[in-house]
Amino acid sequence: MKRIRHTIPALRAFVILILLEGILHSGSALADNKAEELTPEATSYLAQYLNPELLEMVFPNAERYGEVEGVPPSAPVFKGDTILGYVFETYDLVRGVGFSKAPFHILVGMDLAGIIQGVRLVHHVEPIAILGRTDEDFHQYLTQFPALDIRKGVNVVIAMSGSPLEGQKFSQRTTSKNAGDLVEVDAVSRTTTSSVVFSDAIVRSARLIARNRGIKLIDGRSVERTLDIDQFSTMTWPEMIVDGALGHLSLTHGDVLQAFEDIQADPPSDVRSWKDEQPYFDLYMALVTPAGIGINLLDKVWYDQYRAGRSIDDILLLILSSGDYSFRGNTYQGFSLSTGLQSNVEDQTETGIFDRIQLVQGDTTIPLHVDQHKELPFIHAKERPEFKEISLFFFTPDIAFNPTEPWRLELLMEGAKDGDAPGVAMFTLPYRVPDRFIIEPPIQTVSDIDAETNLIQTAKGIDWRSVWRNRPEQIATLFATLLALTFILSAQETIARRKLLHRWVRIGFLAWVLIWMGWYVGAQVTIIHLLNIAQSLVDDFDWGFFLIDPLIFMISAFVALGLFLWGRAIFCGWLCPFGALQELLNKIARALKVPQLNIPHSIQERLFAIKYLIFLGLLGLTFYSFDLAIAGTQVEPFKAAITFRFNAPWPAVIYALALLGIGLFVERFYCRFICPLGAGLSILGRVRMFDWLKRRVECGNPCTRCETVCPVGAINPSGRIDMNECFYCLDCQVMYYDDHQCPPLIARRKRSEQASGSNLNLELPTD
Amino acid sequence: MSAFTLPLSPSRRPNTSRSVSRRRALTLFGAAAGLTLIAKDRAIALPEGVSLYTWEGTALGAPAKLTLAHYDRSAAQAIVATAIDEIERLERVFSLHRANSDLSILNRDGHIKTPAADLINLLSSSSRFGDLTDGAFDVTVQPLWRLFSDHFSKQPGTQTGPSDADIRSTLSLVDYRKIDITPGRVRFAKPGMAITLNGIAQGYITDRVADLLRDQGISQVLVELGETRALDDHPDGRPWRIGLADPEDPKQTTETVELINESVATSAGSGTVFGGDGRYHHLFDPRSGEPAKQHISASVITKRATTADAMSTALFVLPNSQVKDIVQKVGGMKAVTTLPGGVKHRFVS
Repeated sequence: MKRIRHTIPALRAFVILILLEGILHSGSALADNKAEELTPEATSYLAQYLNPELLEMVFPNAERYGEVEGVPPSAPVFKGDTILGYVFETYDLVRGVGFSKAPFHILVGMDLAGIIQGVRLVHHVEPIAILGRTDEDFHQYLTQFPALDIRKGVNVVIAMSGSPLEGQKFSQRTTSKNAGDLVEVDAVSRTTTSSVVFSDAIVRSARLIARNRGIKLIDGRSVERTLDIDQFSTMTWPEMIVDGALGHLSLTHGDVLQAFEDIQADPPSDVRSWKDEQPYFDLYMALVTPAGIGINLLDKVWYDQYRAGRSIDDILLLILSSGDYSFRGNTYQGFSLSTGLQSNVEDQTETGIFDRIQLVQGDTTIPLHVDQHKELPFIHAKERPEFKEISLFFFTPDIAFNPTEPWRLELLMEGAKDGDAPGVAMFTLPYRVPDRFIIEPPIQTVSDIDAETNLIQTAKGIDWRSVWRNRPEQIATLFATLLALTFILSAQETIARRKLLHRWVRIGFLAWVLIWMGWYVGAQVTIIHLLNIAQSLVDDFDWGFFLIDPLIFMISAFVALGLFLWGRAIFCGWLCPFGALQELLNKIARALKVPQLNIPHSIQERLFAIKYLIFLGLLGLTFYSFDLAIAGTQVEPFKAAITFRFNAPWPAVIYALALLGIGLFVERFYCRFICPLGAGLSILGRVRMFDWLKRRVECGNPCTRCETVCPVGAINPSGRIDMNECFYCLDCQVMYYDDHQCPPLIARRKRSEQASGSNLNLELPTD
Repeated sequence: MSAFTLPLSPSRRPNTSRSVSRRRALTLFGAAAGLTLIAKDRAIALPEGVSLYTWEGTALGAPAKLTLAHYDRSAAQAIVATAIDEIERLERVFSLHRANSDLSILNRDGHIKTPAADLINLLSSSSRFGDLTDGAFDVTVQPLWRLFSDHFSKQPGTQTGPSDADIRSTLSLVDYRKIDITPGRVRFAKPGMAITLNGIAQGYITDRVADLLRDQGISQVLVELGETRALDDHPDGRPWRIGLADPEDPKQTTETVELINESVATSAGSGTVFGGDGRYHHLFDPRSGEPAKQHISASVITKRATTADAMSTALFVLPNSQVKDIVQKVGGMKAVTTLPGGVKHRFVS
């Protein structure tokens, strides 16, 4: 129910976009069948979307599909009566959301071997049109997925021509430690986030379905921990004990005495208290299925014989002992050791159970049966001790025994009869195959597939850490940039006192922001980021999503802190590449004596409100329909001018150039009157707690000089600086310290030059 | 034959002073700890970095609790998970209430092939305790329970038990020596026989879980799975303190025992009462076939919980004169019995 709003508005967004933008178009419902609201009964988008035409696209070999069923939902597909595989929809499975933070829907077909057969994007609202990308680009991107083996990881390769990001790889959580096993797919340039999240959703959905529909992903086994049976290195008997490949239970006479003392019964009659420290019984156990253990114990010939002679799935366990006690007992051959009435031999032979030993794994008791047993005369291990009994046990797959999980061997030892029934002591030999013989599953095991919780967990899958690790230079450079900015603003007084220094610090920093941050690494914060945060506060907040772009995250975090100190100006005046572009162009224009249009304060005050209306409109739209809001964000020229360096569709370029053109005559026209991001930050900037910009008592009354100096008209006729509009260019501060510009200072200087009169009452010079 | 204790940790004992005033003990045995009841709760801090992890659930139908000291909560949880697996595994062997338990199959069919070694082990131990107590401990009393249970459910409110003739004929099915334990197989010599392990299995599970925890390197654990066993001492550096339930009012404790590497088990007739003002309860004297009348409670402290459980069950049906002999014969145990009326007797071997 919660997701309903994502569908119908998508269509509206499509229509409105066409009306608004004409040839610009945004992502929207792509499939021929219309995305409709999920009815309350329906729980799967798959059922909404799937039709024969789409089946043809995602599973070309299939003739028909069955009912959508199960949790997670999928539909089997058939050729004749033979099931070929499954189709499923990624949002059903992993709740994938795109760059826009809105859901996208991809239909995927996968065969029974875990090979992707086809992939079709049926719905998305990624803001790609403004990027000069079309749905066709996404479809083209997704054609890289058919024939993908989902056992393998996927590297999304960023191929952004001329960009420092070119060649970067964003890894899916990998199935393989070997990077060479990764399948590489090329991202759609400039839509990195979309490319990565699409890939992630496809692979994780496919693996989820594989796990839950019994598709075996590793060597014919399911996605569980499996034994590495091939790895081999030579080891001696003592080395294997240290390593844990060989479990060892060592019982001295003293140990046995103690055990029987504990149960207040007499020990076996051959246990001697004076042999306290001497070994009474040694029990060994090893899983010999892996060659690394089996060949070392049995030697190659026997190992091959016992391995090859049995089914590939059979598990081999070796149990050996030395000492006076028998773990086999006589019982499995038909003799009783225990108390009670004697029974006839026929009864005993039908059981064939080893009654002195049993395996225990988790909550399961696994008895050992004579049918599983092979007695060996000797083994071949290097530096081995002497053995009394050597038994090899075979476990067929129908026995509930998992060699990759820990288990224990329990040994019963019967004491002597002391007139009463004998006591029985129990000893335990725990065993766990060493980790190096275990192949970990490619992804975390989801044992209990229970709808929502699981889906939410798996939805948060993109590994942002790898992204951060891949970009150390950029992160360091941005960090230095932010540090420099902090320094500049802390030293504002020092800088403002030096007119020339201020001028070039300002120009230099803005140029750096424009060229490096904006054009080179593309770190332009946009209104979409702000809306994402706003929406995710209402929905599930997922840090991982914001962390996936380290630069944007760092800038956003810095700005969030800066709002307390400087208000919106910290971003708008210093860190916005488009803002920098406007200001630099305007400076050139002024240098070239382009006349500046001074907007009277009364008009300007009303124009300021426009951007707030746009911002509030977009914010409202976000909660009504993110799709519509995304369409509305195209009011921003950032993508065309900054991210795409004007290499974008011509309407967007013309729009950006038009804004910049106006900016030549009206300083920061876009920032002051239109920018919804600036409006949002102005509102958030109300948290500002400090006033660093210095004023004099004469400011505004009677002096109004600054008002005319402020390039963005942020100083009221009353002399107050409107921090909602201030860009912190520091021009007014330069003036403040300039005793040839600031009228009160001029007056003071003149007076001191005359070296007469009182300094106490500064008076304005009369014109 | 079920026995119970009421384990109370010191911090949760609201009525300590009242408990003391209610004590009617005549003698104190060993380091009997009644006086330490007043020890200040939580006065002694845990060592740096150590926390107590507690798991509560059920085992064989009784409230179950594990308390262990740890430095790492997730490690403690993982270890407790193995203990829970072990409880589950042994319930599948010993439970009377699970139709597919080894014990239920044995009772239903009169025989079972390839039971868990634990069943062989526990039946062997039961035979031994039967021998040691001259038949006072007998796991084959289940037919008596059925007789009394049927009798009182058919005639609700009746004040009299089944007829002597019925009891006598049922008694012919009660003899642990007629359990035929052979390798990989258990069989009853007589049709109609049945076993209950309620007088020993909780102790056995307690021991198995405690051993399992100890094998994993855990010390300082209190295992309360129907019976109670302490591994080492409390992390505070004091013994684990266990309140013994008042047989007349199980919500109260009559005294506290202190355990370090010991177990305590209590059998009390008030656990399950059929009728007749509490005269007809579930702890049968296997020799008379009647609910035992000697005591209203018997507690045993010994090293292993299996022994404590079985011995408390046995002592409950024996007069104090024989209790003394058995305690001497078995050795390594302390016992306290409570006569009807509340008079306690204490025994140390």
